[in-house]
Amino acid sequence: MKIRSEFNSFNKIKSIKTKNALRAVIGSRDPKQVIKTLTRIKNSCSESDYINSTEALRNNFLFKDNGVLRSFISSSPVQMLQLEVVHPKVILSNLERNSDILTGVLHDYCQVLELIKNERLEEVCVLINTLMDDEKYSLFLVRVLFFIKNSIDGLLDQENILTKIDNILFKAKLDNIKNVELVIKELSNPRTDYFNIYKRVEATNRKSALNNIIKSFVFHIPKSVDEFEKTLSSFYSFSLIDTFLYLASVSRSSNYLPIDKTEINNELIQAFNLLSNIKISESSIIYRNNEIENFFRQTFLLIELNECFKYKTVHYALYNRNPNKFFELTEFEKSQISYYFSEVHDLKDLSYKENENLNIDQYSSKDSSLLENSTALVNLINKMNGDISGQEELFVKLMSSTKDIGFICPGEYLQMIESSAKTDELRLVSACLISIANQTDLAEHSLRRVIQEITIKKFESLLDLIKYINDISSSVTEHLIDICDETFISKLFNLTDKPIAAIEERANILDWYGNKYKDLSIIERAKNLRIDVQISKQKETIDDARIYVEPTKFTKWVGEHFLNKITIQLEDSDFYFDNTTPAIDWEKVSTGFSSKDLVGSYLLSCYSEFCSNNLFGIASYLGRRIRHGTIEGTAIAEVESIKKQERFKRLFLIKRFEDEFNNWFSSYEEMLESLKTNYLHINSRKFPDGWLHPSFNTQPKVITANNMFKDVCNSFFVHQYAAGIPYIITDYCWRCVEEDLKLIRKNLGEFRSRYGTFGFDSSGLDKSDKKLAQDFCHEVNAITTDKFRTIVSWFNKPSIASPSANLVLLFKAVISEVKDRVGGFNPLLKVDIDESRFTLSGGLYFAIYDALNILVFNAAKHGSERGKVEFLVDDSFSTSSIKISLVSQVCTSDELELVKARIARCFEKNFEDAHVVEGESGIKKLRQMEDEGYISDVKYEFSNVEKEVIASFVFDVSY
Amino acid sequence: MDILVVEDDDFKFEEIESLIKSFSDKFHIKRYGNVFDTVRYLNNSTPDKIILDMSLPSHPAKPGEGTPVSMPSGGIEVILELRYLKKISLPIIVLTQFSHVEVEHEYCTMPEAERKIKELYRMDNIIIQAYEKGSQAWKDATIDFLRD
Repeated sequence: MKIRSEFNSFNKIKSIKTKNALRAVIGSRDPKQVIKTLTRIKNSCSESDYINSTEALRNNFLFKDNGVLRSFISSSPVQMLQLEVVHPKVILSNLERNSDILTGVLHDYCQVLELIKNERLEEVCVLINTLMDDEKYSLFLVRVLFFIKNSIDGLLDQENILTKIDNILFKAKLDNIKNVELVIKELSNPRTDYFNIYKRVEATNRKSALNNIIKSFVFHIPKSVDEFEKTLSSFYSFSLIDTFLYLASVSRSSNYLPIDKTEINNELIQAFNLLSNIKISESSIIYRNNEIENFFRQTFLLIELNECFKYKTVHYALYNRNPNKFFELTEFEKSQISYYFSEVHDLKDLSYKENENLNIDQYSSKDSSLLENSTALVNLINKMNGDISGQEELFVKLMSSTKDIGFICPGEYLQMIESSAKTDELRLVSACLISIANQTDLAEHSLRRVIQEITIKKFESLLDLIKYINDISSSVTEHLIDICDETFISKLFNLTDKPIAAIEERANILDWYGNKYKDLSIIERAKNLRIDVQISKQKETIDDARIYVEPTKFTKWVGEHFLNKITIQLEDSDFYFDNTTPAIDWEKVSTGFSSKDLVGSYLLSCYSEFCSNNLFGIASYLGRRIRHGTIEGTAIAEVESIKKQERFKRLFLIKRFEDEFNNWFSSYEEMLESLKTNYLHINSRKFPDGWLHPSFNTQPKVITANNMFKDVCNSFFVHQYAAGIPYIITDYCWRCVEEDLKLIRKNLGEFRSRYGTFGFDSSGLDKSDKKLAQDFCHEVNAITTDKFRTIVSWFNKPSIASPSANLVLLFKAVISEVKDRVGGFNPLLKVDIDESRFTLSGGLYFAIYDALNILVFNAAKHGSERGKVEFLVDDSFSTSSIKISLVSQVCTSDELELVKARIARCFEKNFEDAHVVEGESGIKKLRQMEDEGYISDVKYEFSNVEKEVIASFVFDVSY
Repeated sequence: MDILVVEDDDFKFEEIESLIKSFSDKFHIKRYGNVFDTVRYLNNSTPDKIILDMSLPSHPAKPGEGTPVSMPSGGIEVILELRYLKKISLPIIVLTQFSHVEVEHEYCTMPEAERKIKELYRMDNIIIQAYEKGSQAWKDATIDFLRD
């Protein structure tokens, strides 16, 4: 039955002018017109007339479709007013007038919760639908629906219920309150970063009603009268039901509310008490979702329930990054915390293993979750004033049964723990926690120093230290594995004497960790790093790539700004990527609304930041390491110095020579200046000629961007791994920027040949001057060539950032590795291809390395030790594939026959045949790679005349 | 008197070197062009003064040894190392080509950076000076620094 709530507000309006203005919007469905009218009334009429006008709009059926202000609604308002603080007395009076209706609504809501408790979800959907039709819709129902959505994993009719809920949410017009929906999703999704959302919500202003509503999801207890009044008024502009629920909810915690609680209708209070005493914890629904931590993340969805309210109060108060949290606790929070942790007096009272249960009412070490154990520890440290002496070992051990201590423990206590640490283990743990907490260069440097000191004092290597720590705390190990990437290890200057050693040590660490925990993806990463090391060793040139992006800072930025958004959109999406290329219009993603467009626009924003960020992006390095003085220093000083050489002084007495050189030098300098001021920039309005475009503006970049999209989706859908997404994005950003870097290198080459070559027509000079002029030109041009070669090399993609290698280098690295494995193998290498023509990136070249390794190893094992090994690459038969062939020789015709027979046997047998093991021939692996689609068309051919084996395979180079 | 010059740009170093030599022949100049060599040197030695660049590579670039990490705040790493080694009173002049210096993830003007480094790292004897090829200001500041 629809609600009819009609009061006399309209008649209370004193001014005729106001009444007339309001009459103009009777029956209006145009929210803009309503808002305009209200604004006019506000600006020209008395305050009481304005209040009565808003009350009339809220309650009089003549304005029932106004879309802005209604006490009872069937869907979200089309538009909400700017926040106006309404006096609580006005709100209380409206509540009182509508108390009968509200009491009924609360009973209905009790029924909704009871049905959920009994998992009668289909009936819940029917009931909510009816309630909405009867204008009993509220944000409470939205939250309840999301609670169900998040808690029905594994239910038989899960899909059916989800569809029904989605239909109800559509009917609720959530698009009108998109931000509310987004925050509900982010906050209740365990795969998003809680602290990140907390920070963002905290930073939003209180100017709009929706913002205040959103803030109340995180900050459920107002800490000031102002906060309370603003939030209450915000709910009031949404619906009367939500207004009452908020008021009743916070009344449980605050004694300083500017209202007299006795003024709240008693029947309403009783109805709320009925609702709030419902115990959802008695239902199995909260345990359906495997992740126990979810309960904390979901408490705001059912905050009206006392058990949710109290649980959130305790853990929200402690599980946050506020360093002053203990000074800011309210008496209510203190009493709740004290009751909840009343059994915890010492570190030994905490749990030292990961449990699977929830302690909703009171903490118990027997079955506490990670989060509960963490808040327990932080609370205890506060009780102990940061003094854990005598319990150091327990503290270190607790790192494996707690989480985020670095974030939630006040820095002051961490400093105290570090400075009083008596063991190396605690020194290391506290340095880790401080670096997590502070994220400053100072803290990171201290951590690096502690790691180095302990390693040098007690261990052979960083890996040995990590192995030792793993026996004490697996969580600290995990943290060390996370932070000790190649860049971090490079900066352990007392352990790492060359960049390549950092990659080797990282590979060792990953290899050990992957094998220990049987994680194939980590073992694969280790293997890939070893290939990088092998390739780096083969490089005969100095790597002086100056273009760089700080990977830690960039991945952190992606994590903070886009990871949650991407996760939410992917969870909501109905698209799934297989091997087909997604059809994404990158030019339009920024204006699209579909999940695909939004994810696309987030990836585009990440790439733009990768290029343009002045702190860690390419832009930073263009400025610091390249433009500022370095180019001039490199390209001018030596050229200038030739002019001053004694032996050339004579030339500058010849006016024509001097004029021509000065003209040339001016244009050379101008060219360098234009590189600095116009071209070596990120393309933007300010620098329209900048060579680096922070967009997917070319076809190769579009292909790479499509593959980035595909891999991000795969990581999420296939591997269920959202935390790896920033690393995938970083890798693809490097592949994209490589397109522009190539162009820069090409453009620099052209600039050099156009402006960097000095020529002088020496006819007319005597013989010795002619020779001198020629020598001078030769020297100048040799210097400019050399200097430009150096400058061009600054625009090489650094191998440490995102590995890539050309095919020839790859081949040489393989030969070198096989030489180490097979003694006596020293073939005559024949490589007749242009080194720079085929460069492969990331995952692709690791597969090729593996395939080549098998072929070369077979050639070494079964072929002639000093025979020919020829490497052939053919890209003429397809635009997207390359055929690689390896020609090797055997000594005699008999041997060739043996090889033929052996290979034929391998090919005949099912490749699962245990006889064809990897150690024997590797053909099994090769066929597996073919089967998995890394390579195709594996063939062996033979030349009886040359006694040659020609092995070949094809691989796809789509990106 | 030992003076350590941490500078990876040969041309800038030559200018600094010739300025020092023109000022006095009593300075013994030690030069490193990357953070690794500087840190290793500072572990065992203490120069009398340091002339420091901000943007430095992590290691020397050598064939077959991989790409050094580009450290735009490599100078800060050296400062943190000095702090750790309790050599906070060493006189340092930072000669940088950039108008802003990154300290603790924030870009600061030179006076701000100087104040922040003194405040956060307790490095009281630090001066940050803009370096510009051909300009006199950095030369004057460096001479003053050498004279003190």
